[in-house]
Amino acid sequence: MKRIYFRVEYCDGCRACETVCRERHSGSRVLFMDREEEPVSSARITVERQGGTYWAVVCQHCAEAPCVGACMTGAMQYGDEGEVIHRVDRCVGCWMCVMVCPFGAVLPQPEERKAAKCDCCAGERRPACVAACSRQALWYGSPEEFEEKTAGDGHALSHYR
Amino acid sequence: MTSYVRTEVYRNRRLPGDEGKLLPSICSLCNGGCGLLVRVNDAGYVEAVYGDTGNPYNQGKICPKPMEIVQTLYGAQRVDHPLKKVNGIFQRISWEEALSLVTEKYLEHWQTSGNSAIVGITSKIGGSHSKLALSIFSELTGLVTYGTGPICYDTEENVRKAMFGNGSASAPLADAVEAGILLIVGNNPAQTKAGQFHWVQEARYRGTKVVVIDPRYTETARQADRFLQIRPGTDGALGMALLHEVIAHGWYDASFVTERTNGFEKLAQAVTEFSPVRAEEMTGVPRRFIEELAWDLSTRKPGMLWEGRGVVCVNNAGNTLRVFEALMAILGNVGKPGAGIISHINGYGRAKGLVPGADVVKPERKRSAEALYSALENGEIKMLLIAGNPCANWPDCGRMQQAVSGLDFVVSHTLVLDDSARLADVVLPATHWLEEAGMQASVHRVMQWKEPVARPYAEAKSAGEIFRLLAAKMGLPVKYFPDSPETAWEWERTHNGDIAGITVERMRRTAGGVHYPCPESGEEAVRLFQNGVFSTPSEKVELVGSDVQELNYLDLLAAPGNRGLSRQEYPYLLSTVKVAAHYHTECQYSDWAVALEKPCVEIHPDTAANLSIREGDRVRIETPVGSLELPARLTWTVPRDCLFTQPYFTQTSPYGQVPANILFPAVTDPEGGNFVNKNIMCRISALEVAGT
Repeated sequence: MKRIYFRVEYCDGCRACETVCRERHSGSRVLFMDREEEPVSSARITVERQGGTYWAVVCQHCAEAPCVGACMTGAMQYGDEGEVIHRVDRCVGCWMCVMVCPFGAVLPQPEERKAAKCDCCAGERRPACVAACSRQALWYGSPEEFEEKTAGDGHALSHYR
Repeated sequence: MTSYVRTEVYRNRRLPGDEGKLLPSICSLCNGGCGLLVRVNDAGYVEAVYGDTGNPYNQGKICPKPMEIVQTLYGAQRVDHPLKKVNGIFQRISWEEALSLVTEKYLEHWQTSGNSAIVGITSKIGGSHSKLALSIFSELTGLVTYGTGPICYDTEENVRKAMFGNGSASAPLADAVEAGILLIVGNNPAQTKAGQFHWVQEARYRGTKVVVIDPRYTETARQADRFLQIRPGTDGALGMALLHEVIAHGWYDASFVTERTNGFEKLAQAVTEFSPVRAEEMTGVPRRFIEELAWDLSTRKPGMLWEGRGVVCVNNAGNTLRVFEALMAILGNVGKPGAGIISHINGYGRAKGLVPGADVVKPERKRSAEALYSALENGEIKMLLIAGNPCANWPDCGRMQQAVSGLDFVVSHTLVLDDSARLADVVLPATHWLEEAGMQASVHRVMQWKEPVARPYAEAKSAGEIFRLLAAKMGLPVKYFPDSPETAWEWERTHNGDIAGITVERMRRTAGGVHYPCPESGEEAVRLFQNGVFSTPSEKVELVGSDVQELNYLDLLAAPGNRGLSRQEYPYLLSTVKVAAHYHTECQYSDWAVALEKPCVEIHPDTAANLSIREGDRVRIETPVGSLELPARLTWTVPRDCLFTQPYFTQTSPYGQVPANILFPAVTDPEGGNFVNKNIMCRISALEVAGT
């Protein structure tokens, strides 16, 4: 299964990912229009500054996802490839997924009273945030591809413990 | 296992470790009875709370409230020692001194003004041990106490008691999976019983038709098969039209009606004028949907009913509840699997004969909840025992605050230094329910035993312990007070035939708990009235009470609270509603709760446009009894000309918000005696524009 990876030393905190994410999840898909929409669309990726570095908080599509376990209505569920999908029609806004997410990647949308999280831009070849990341801090692919891509720079999965 | 991180509180987090123990408990916040697993560290402090996947009822699902407890338990607001107010400032005192003070004042007022000069408002007294100790103390002293009833369920309990002879839920929520239709009226269980809501969904997947009747397009309504958006306060008219349809077409269970009910003719007479056409005019629900629902109810059997505060805490609740429950009764939806009434009222009767007649002191006066206000104000009452937060969650709380501060002596037994505790003369630290053993009943009609998972914080004591110590100081016979939660339950069990078979051992042994009633023989009854015998004197369902007036439809504008007010002056209707992350006022002392919910008033965009109110503008809401400022939130989910806000925010909490109950008059429904916190006439005006 493909997922979004983040490489911390490449990120310069430009927040282009947040902006395109907001655009992609708006009704009009036009950045300049989305503030006029109701409800106002919001990004599902958040860039946080920690000391001198930046960290992008985005759904990790956990293999054993706490949000899927905590969701009482089955809105959070596993997709065909093991990705975590959020079925908005079933969400009742109890915020349990928000409470249990270890990454803070599920965001409450108070206007709609529904949770929102990264859907890897379902239906598109490459998520918008990855396409917009000029420094290639965000990278989209399978774990094997990521390992191959980052071999030697300390990021390869096999280098982890 | 999981940790809790949210982006807003990302940096200040302390992740719960994997050290310590994982202990089971039962959530005691909303009577849902969800199983919890609590991580307790080696020092005996609660680190984190999870859902218990081993509990057959909630299956690991919980809402954010129990998780927030971790922050409330050891938060800055928690009361750790007994406090005495000296010149307006709280000073730490010892338990010995605190109890001596209370005793001295209690005896003084009892002797000079009689026992009705002292009352208790005890909605949050504690678990089964504390409740029993309070009832024994009341029997020995004639103390009259007001629990959760007046602000939550009195009407519902009284109506059901009059009709079926038993006020508690007649069927467990788990039965919904066997029902043909589940009628949810004025209830939003997706938010208010979040941990148990999967039962409604499961039922729906198995073919139960879920019908939601609500003025708001709630989260529950979004998950339903059919949603009927009704004009606020007209549920009674809809219920009567359904009765009209069912009776006119002869769709009711004729044999059940003749054998098991009384007053069918009077009922039929009372609803003759409520044709679906007339109901359409009154409720705004199109006629064909009323007819469809009547047809569904009579063909999809068995059927279940789940009423919520939306039809209980209103000023015409008695009529509404009676017609919906009568509807269930004439359809024969009682006492069968998949049939009956779901409720979080889980009364199981009182233990009788624990105090011999010779030692019982009768209260000299009993006042209704409504009459309590004037008695507090005019000096009839000198002393008040508080376990709860009436200065925020009783209606007309501004008046309540005034009344409480005018009393001679106020004792508050509390977890946090809340609005009511700040007005007290002596504050006693209370144990949290995680620190106290006891029986917790649930919406599935089961009794579950919970052990204390953490040791009491600082010098906190449970009410069970305090009443025993107080009795000793006051010279009352201490032998009537149980010395431990286990003993308390043993006494209660052996003095109440309905639960005689439910021992602590049995509850500990049985995952999910033991169904009640369960007599000495040990046989559990999953639902009430399975043999068709009702607990009324006639052993039949009393469709019509002694007073036929109860069946007369009461318009909400002519009902208490709104009667006599000018529609022109107060054109809008105000109600309070709850969400999953908050339920009681104690839930707001957590960073997570604060990050998740903000106080606001929900307004329909059309109504807002008429008033030139935009999203986020501060507005002033006024009723004849009070006024309040809130930011506006525009949403299409509420009907036009209706305002919805939240009841639990208080002034002393991190929100610093004037409680919404300040807007509600202290009036009760004419039949049941329940305070009203919905459908009160109000007006609204814009104060300032957001962003300027």
